[in-house]
Amino acid sequence: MPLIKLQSSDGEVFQVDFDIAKASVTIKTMVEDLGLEDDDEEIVPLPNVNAGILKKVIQWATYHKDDPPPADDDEGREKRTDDISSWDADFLKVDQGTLFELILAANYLDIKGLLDVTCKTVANMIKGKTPEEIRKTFNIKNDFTAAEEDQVRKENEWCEEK
Amino acid sequence: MAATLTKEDNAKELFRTGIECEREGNYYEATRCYKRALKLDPDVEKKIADEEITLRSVDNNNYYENNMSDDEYDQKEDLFVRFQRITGPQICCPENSQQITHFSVLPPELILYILRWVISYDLDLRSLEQCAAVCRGWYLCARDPELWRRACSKFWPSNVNDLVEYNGSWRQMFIERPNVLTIGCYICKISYVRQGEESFRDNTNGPSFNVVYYRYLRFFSDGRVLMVLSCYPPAKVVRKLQTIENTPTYICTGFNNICRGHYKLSGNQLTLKLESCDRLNNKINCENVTKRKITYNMNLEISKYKSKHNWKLQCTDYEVVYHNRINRVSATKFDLINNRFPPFIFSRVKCYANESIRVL
Repeated sequence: MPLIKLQSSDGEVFQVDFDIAKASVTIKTMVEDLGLEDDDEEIVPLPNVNAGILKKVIQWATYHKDDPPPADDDEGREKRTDDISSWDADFLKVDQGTLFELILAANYLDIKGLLDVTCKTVANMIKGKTPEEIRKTFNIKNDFTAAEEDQVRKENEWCEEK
Repeated sequence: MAATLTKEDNAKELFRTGIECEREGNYYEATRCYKRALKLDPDVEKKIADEEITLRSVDNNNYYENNMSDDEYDQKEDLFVRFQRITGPQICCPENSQQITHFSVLPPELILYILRWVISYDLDLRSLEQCAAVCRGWYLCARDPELWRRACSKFWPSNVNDLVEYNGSWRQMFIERPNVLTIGCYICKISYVRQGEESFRDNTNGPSFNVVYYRYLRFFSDGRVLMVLSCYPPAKVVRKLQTIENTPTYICTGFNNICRGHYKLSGNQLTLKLESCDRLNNKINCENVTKRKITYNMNLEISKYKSKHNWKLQCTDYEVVYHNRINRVSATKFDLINNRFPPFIFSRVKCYANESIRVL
């Protein structure tokens, strides 16, 4: 199996099996378009991903290399009922900062499966919480004035019990 | 001294060019600038950050002063328009400084994607509304028309663009147009007093029973619905109706079979077709129920309850049809004029919004 070299933003080079790296549509397109596989010396630069995150991404792609390809259409997406697998849950036991960086990397590298599971994890950190709890969770500053906050509360009354 | 100053200034200038490049998406150049700046002055990042904070707090103070004098929110301006006008490109900022990457690194399109997971297939728009109350930037994201359009298109796929009645707002359509709420149950409590057996009575105290039972309706965004008839109160029942896949065939033995079916919306009319589970009937050791299929046809009218749109369902027609293996055997149409059918009232169930399973 052909190997390709990926270089992180901070200069570290990772040698990865192309079958694993092609989980990233960005890398797959790049390699196929440029025909990099014929040239072993070529290095694919990934200026938006640092070594720590790239390592995590490769780890994720290695575990998921035999997954069926994700469905593109909405229909396929609706049928998905899979919970976050226990492996993914363990994989995502990282600090918030790493989680956000993984989302950015998954988006840049165009890895749908990783983007979904990371966004779902953040969504589950949000769901069921009050605004104040959300602010606490993500360390977000409340920049509403009292009058604005009041107005938002009024607008949101339709779904509240009282 | 002069030399170090220049060095520091050079570093700062390089770093600022780096920020500029990063904003424009020129990450290669940005990284180069940052690296060179850091080489000149390893502390440059902190220095720049400190300066920014000082600048911003001055700005903020000015801003708040301005805000107090001539830009006080007057309760007439639309908040969305207002926040678009006064909010910078940053979606949110940290309350306390933090070392790890902050939420605000995420660009709007990724925040919107996360919010689609928050709403999820269950149409948990309540959680989205909580997000709108976090800060101005989140408000703008959570009020994004596309999110609400997606939610509306679940209920009204064919005429989701009929926005005239709703001021051009999908959010208003979702809230006001008759539909069913999917993050809780509609509950109808029925109670009556029944006199006890005549033979146990004497003239002074006749036993009488206060009979209470509940009818539950749990709607899902994909058109499926569950109906449960049970003597058990909501606390015991609603948790078991969280997902249609994991719902047990019966809640406890006895008087509480779960019927499954589909609903259809048409204006403020709701049509339900339900069927009681055959497997259930086999489990109950009662001969005249086994092998008999029962279907339930119900029409309901959707209305407001205490100013809450769609919180009340009033049954207008109810028919129970008993089948044998081949034919429709008999039908019973219920008389709905008396108090036997009080309206269903919506009640939110917290655990339905616990976890996002599928993206909207």
